[in-house]
Amino acid sequence: MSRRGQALFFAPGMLIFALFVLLPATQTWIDSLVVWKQGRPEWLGLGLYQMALSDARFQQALSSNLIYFLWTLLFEVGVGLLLALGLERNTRWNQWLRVIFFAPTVLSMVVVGLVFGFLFKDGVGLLPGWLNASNALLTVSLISGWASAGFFMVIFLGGLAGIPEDILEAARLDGAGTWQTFWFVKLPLLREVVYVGLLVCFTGAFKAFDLFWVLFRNQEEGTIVGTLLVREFFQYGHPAYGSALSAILALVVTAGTLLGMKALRWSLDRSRKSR
Amino acid sequence: MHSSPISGQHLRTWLLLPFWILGAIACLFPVVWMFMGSLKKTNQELYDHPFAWPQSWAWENYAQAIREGRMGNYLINSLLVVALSVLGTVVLGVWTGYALGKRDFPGRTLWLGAILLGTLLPVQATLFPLIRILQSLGLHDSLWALILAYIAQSLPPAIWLLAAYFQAIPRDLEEAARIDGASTWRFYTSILFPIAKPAIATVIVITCLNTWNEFLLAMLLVLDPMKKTLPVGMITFEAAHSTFYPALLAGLTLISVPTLLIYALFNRHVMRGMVAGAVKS
Repeated sequence: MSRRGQALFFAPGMLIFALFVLLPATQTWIDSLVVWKQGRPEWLGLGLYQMALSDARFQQALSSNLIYFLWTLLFEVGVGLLLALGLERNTRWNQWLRVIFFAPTVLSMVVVGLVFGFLFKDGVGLLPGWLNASNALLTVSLISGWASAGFFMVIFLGGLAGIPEDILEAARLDGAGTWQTFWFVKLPLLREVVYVGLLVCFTGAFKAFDLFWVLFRNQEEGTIVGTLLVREFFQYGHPAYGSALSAILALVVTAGTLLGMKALRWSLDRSRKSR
Repeated sequence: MHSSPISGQHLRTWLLLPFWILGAIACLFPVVWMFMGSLKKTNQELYDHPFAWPQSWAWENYAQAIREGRMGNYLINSLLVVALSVLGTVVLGVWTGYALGKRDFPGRTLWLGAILLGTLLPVQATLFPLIRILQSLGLHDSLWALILAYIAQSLPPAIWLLAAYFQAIPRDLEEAARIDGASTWRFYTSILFPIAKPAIATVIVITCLNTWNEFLLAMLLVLDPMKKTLPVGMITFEAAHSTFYPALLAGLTLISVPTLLIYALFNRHVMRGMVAGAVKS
């Protein structure tokens, strides 16, 4: 096949990706650094970023993201790991339970948010008051756990399936109990999968939008960076500031992920050398 | 009598059984409550008897969701958007992924780096300029805006998966096709796709579920009430009729049934596909 033919079929996908992802992402950065006043660009530098760092609303939102991340670490990753360890063996009964626990993953977060909103509704719901200011973040995290623990379960099941049977057999012959086998044999071998789980949880916690938007549409509490930047742009009339917040969010997510990937590679290299 | 390790194992299984059953019930309850609630006559029945079967099956709630909530209209929009997004993602993903699956493709590392960056970036990073770009193309506030945005968002993971897939299979595909006398056009349009079937299935699963459920872009790129997709339309419906819950639950059930049905039929593929899409590298 000709070189030209190859380029011709490669280009359209790359073009759409560049036009609707790379270009607007770059533009977001520019918008956060330069502001247009009466048709002339004015260089702001890091002014908007400094503004964000001293903005109480942004600090609040960012810390909400962080707390949400820590809670979902427990309710999504932790519970997912427990489910995977409990359903590790391929029995018919376990396969049914896996299908059940993964099911919420296919639901729209809008559906999840509205259904739990109705369940927790003040006055009529089964568990009224759960979405109030003091425990809003804990409740959202529990809802996220309900929706996503099964997803992490499947990630960990994939890792557990990759552990060779003879290693577990050897551990059993050495007299290791369930807990010892988990802590000294399985967990070290699961390191790569655990890292992946942590990264997915981390990006998920900072990219979050739907659930928070649906549950806290008319409330100040439960504001995270993802919802704050949309409000700044469309409701509060600060598009440049909204762009700066988008840029900060993108930076946090990509830098966090790249660092995490580096750390994983480093720790894998180290364990390979020590072996 | 000493208990053998096998009966110890059995004992633990039986002790944990109630825990698993409770967990499964907790997991299913909100979905069952949604479906049962969608068939109840009044708010009172919904909240006073949350665990009860509907007294009579009020299917008219669905008629109300479709008529007053315009859910039928949103359903057609959603189907159209998902179908075209999946089609675009698969075709363009296979073409670009095939090229990047070759080790000697010029600039390969650079392209793959850009694509990895694209998979990492949150949607929020592109949001506002994306609206402007679509406006300047005259596409803002149309289903095409959504379709293009969804294809662009779905392409990075799709290309990543497909490039890895093509890289793993023997490299003489084109050679064989040329010897058989196939033209470049025929190679790219009819020979390449069947080869990548397993990877394409994964891409279809991920793209279908993600675009069917997508909310943020759908809310901001489409303003015309007649062009909304299901999740955004549902929020509009809820805002307008937030007092009669059974009809709202009927709407929510309508959104969820297609994905739950697909999941019930192909649960293993869906599990594997969703996780592969997120884990990627």
